[in-house]
Amino acid sequence: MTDPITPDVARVLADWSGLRADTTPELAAVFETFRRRVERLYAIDVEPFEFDFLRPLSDEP
Amino acid sequence: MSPDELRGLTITAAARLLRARKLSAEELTRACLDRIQRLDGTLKAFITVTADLALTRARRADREIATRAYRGPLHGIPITLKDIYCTKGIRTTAGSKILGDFVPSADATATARLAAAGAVLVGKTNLHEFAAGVTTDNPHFGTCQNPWKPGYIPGGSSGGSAAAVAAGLGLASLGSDTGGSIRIPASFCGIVGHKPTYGLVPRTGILPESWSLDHGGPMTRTVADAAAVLQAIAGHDPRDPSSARVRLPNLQRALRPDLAGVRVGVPAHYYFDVIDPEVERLVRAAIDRLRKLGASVVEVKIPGVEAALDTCFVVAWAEAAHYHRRWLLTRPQDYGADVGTLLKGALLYLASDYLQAQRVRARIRHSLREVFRRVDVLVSPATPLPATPIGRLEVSLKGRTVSVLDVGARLTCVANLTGEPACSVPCGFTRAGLPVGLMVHGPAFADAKVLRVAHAYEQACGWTAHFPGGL
Repeated sequence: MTDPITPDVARVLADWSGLRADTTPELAAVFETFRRRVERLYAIDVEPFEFDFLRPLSDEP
Repeated sequence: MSPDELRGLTITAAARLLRARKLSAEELTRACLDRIQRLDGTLKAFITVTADLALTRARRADREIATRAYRGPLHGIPITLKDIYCTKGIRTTAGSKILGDFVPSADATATARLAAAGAVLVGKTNLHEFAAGVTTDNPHFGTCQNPWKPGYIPGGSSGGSAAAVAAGLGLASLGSDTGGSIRIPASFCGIVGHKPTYGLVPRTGILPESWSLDHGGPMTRTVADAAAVLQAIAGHDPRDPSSARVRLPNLQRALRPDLAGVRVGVPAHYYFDVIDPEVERLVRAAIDRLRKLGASVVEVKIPGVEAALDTCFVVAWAEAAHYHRRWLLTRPQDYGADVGTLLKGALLYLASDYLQAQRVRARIRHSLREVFRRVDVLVSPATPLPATPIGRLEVSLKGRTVSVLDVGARLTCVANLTGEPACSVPCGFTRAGLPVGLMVHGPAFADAKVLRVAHAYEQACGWTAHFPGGL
């Protein structure tokens, strides 16, 4: 697990995302929640599975 | 008939009366408009009421029916649309300030198909802002109330649609469902909500939340009514790149009262791990009833389904953040607090994060396809809890504190990831008088089978005959 996202780091990340810097105080916790979710997904083995969704389901074998 | 005598009418019953000219479309439409005027000041189920248009279309329907130009079971039926379906010449806000003045130049495909079937639009319903939440506590158009219990949420994001159907302000509505937004409010408001197979109902003209997860579908009082609405709006549309090329069977004819030969799977894990005890009791009783109707019931395991909520969250918010980026950078102050904050958070996701989530999604889809080799449908709670008080963001279930957003979508989101059909049908009430929904989930394009199971249960138990007290 990486270090928590602090308000200072959140400000940098918000700026990097193109958001206004004055929107950051509440964003640190939100960024942290979002990052935790994706870290849990990276712990899953997806080797046999490709990204295959954007075609009509009726076209699938 | 008085407006209150018409309040619990189903499409099936109304169509019979309209065709026999024992009831006029104008009379039925006026009854709905009267109830909207009396009740919506409190319920806040509507963003726009289209009274003049409705009466014009109702009179036209009456003329056509009188001249034997009957179009089918939706002809002359008052319906509503979640305010995310484009309506030509009628503002379509998505429940937002950002699109508060947006007036589309064309109808959504589903809007046009309902009009062609002769349905009468009485209004556009309230929703969680941009369909991105489960409470319909909308900062721009008012907090929608649950018709069964004032002070409680109707669920969301199609909360206004569910409240309108439950309160008899229209006989059906179209909702949209990205992580459960048809089935969650259907469960909370004691109505039927069906999320069809991905691609069965064109997304053309439904304002997007998440392209690969968004589904349009019916919200009605009964399963037979949901079948009638789905029959009218389904079908290939070349303007939607994910639109399916399949011939839908006659859904009404597929509805039968028994479940002989149907194999029902009950998940052995995840679905009952975080749950309100009253919801579990009602759903287990419903499963017993399915067995008595002739179904064979077996426990099934779904490898990897525990990752469904995280996967749906990352895919949905990443796609939504992309759609909203232009406004997040230029008009951040015009979003409500919860939706704006979550969308900003999602701007941080990397392309590799999104792709990892899509590959986990493929893994979950594989698991479900394997399960559906052994059973015809899965049944479970639609939501692990009933409606919650307005303003409550967290609840405690089995000793765990969980967010209402997470737990609300915990079970419904699975069928969004797989694109498979799933329906919520009422299965009883808690001691506090709040409805609970049973979810029936089937393999891709088995919408008829899902509706058959839901219909057989509904016919045996009759929960849909109940109506909110005081309305």
